[in-house]
Amino acid sequence: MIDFDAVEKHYAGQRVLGPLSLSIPQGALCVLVGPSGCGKSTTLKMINALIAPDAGTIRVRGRAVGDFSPEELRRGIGYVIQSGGLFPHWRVRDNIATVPRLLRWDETRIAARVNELADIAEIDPTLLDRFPHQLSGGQQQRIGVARALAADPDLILMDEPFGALDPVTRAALQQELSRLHRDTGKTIVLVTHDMDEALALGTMIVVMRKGEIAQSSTPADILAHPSNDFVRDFVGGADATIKLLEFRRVGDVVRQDAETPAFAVPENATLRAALTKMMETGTTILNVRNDEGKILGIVRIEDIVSASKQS
Amino acid sequence: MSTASLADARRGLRIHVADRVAFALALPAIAAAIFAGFLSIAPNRLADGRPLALWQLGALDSAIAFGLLILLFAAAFIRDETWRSKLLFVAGAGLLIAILLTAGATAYGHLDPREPARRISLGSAFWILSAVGSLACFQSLQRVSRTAKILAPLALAAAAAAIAASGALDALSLTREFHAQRATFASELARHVGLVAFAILLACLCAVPLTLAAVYRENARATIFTTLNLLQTIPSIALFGVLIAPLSFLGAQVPLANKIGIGGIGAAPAIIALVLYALLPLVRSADAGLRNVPADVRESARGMGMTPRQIFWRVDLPLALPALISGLRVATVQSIGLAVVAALIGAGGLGTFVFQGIGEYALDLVLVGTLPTIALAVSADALFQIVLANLRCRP
Repeated sequence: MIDFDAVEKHYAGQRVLGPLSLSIPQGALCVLVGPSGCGKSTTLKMINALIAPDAGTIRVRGRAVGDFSPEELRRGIGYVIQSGGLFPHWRVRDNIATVPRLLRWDETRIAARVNELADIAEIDPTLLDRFPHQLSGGQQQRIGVARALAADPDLILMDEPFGALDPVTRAALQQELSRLHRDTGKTIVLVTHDMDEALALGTMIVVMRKGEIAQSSTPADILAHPSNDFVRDFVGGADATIKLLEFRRVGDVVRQDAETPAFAVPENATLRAALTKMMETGTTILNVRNDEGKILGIVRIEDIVSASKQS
Repeated sequence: MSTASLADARRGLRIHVADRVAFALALPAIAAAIFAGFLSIAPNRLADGRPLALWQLGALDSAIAFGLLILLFAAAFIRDETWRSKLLFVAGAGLLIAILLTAGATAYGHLDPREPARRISLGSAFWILSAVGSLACFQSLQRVSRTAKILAPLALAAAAAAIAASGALDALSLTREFHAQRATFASELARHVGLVAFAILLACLCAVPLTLAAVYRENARATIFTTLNLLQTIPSIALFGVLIAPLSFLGAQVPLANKIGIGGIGAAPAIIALVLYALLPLVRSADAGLRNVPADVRESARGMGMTPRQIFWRVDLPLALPALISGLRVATVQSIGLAVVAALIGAGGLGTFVFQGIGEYALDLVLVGTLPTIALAVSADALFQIVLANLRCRP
């Protein structure tokens, strides 16, 4: 979907980014993560030509970014920024309709699409006729996402979309983004400085540092095999072992045993949830049941510990 | 007695000023009513007048006026906001009407057929009381609906106009000066408005490229603002004077320029000077408005795929509109005042009466020029405020 080939960005004669080579496959939810100033936002903005590279090429859907007119390219890519960036003088409805209007859809089609998006992004229809300043930060960001989806692009770029939200709202919107990604199969590139957000959302994580890629892999692989000390520290040091348990399911380690524990966990629970359950109940062994409540076997604390060492 | 109850007692005794503005208005008004001349009676147009204070007038008239002043003073101590506003408006509006009627009626009383040249002018107490009355009205209208904010001053202005039209003020020197100038008043007023309107129109046209350059060309910005700031510091009379020489040269050398009325004196230098003065407020506020468009809003507009032209027309301009209108407001009000000076170089307008009055040492003739100028400026200001308020509630 997106290919970076030896891309560089220079500032005052100095190379500040790259050479960067990276492939983001179609359907991925790729998270660019790293500390401030690592070049993750610059990398993102080069995809929709908001920033031009000084060397190398970027291809989107196989075509070099420079071959498009920037406006044509951008209208085919959804774009969400931290504060929402909603137009304060337009009603929510008109904000969502921005790109369809630029693409000159007819008004009946736009109206239908806006209502459909309100449904998809779970926006209360009464909010559609309000102005952005009348909404909460979470609602504004929801509308920012709906606006990015408006013309149904197959690629969406998000620049720290949840950075300015409170933890509860952030978690809710993260879950919805995951659901949206699962349901639509769109390619999403998201920038964040929050490793936990990256682990919670990404199917692919690119850890960046000082304009270079420190490691690019799946979340579980980065947790289990950080390529260097920087990545190890950034993913949370000793905490990484616990976080890794999020990526394994109880169903993967279930086994048969004669014992009959007092408590049970569902087979699709994460190992971390199982561990938490053990600590809450003061036991070291739990039943594993499927959706119908049938007992499939048991899980022991030893199994969880050894699972965290494998992978 | 415990400290707590002592504090309670003190609080109970303390007189609480609920409305400091009303309080601050009432005191000088009462002082002016007692000590300053309300009317001034002179044997002729040139001689100095004998002042007549408000309390020296008819018993009923002064009782009403002082009663309203006491009401105004009392209003400052009312804690209930609704009642305070109502009382303030009654006192302010009442005061305005009462002093107009009193001045008119008293002037009739002092007319003397044996002294036909006798002049009865409005004194400083009249002006102080009318200012206090107007301010009290505005203060009382602070928290009312927008419709009331517009209607109440209109109703007051209509009442004052009706009193003037009824002939009740005809004995005053000011009215007599006005009647003497009646033939030219309407045309000079129209000329004044025309000068300002044309100058503002031209200034807006000039402000567009200057603003665009200031906002989008960083190196032009400093030059533009230095020049405009410098222009603003030149005294108006000097600027009018400076323009006479080049324009009379132009008028003499270029036949076309002469044909369309460009010359050293008259409307051309006046309009040019007004345009130069109007540019700074226009460009400065437009520049601020355009620069204050939030960066994230512009970035998302770009990221959505708007062209630079679309960003300007659909995002920058609508968001800067309130600032543009406030710049227009400042420029217009300023031009209405400055256009008075334009009469000095033969451009006409309400300044004609001002300078004629100064020349003849007839202060009431000066007022025939200044009062309509003030009324114009205040109305233009109010008009722009209404437009702005409507813009703000529908962003």
